[in-house]
Amino acid sequence: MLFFNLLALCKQQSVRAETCEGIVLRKKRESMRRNHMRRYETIFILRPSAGEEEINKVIGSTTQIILDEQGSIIELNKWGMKKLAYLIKKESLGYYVFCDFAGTPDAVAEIERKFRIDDLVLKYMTIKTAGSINQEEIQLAITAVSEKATAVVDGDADDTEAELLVEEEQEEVADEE
Amino acid sequence: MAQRPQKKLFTRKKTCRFCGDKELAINYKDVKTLRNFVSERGKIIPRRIIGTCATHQRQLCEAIKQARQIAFLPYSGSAQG
Repeated sequence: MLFFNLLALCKQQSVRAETCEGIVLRKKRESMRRNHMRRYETIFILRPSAGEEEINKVIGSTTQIILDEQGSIIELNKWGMKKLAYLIKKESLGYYVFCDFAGTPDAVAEIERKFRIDDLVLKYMTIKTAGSINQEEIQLAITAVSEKATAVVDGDADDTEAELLVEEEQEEVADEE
Repeated sequence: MAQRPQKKLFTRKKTCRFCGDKELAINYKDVKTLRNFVSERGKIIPRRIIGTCATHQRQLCEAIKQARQIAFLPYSGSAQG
């Protein structure tokens, strides 16, 4: 009887009565959400007037954000200067950087927030390629990328790849399964 | 539907290019393939002219729009590159 009244009171005040079980489930869901890894591809275009160290600074801060959230970088590629199909902020050339990583949605939000503030970044685009990814798949992807890199170096040079920079980071990710 | 004298003007192509060739993958980074499906003005060519199947046409459109977003393809006008 008392419990029923309490519930009614809570509904009136639009507050959900949380049971102990509910709290446990909620915390588990939140931790799962925080550690849930998704696979993303980010391309960002930097101003052509940017120097080497400025480019590396931007890349460094981006990778730092990903790694802070216990993500892992599968591929980091600097595509170099390319002619833009249309003028972006009055610039006709741009320095392209490609990043394939596994991370949390919070990391992506933070990266994009940084890009929006930075004057050097002309444009950015993040695409989700996989909804969820676990450690084994990340390792498979990293090895696949490194194999492709060695194959390109051994064989004829591909004209699309200007510089190849492969970074492998191993972080302990809480296994959500 | 209004009666038109030329009812079956556009002959339906036999197979979709992507269904036939399994290795052709639709990727927004692959500008060379995407350019085949874009007109001179930069517009996406309709499916009835090229002959792709519906699924692949949808994937193509998405890839072309993504490529436009990062300035691999223009929104309109000929590509300068």
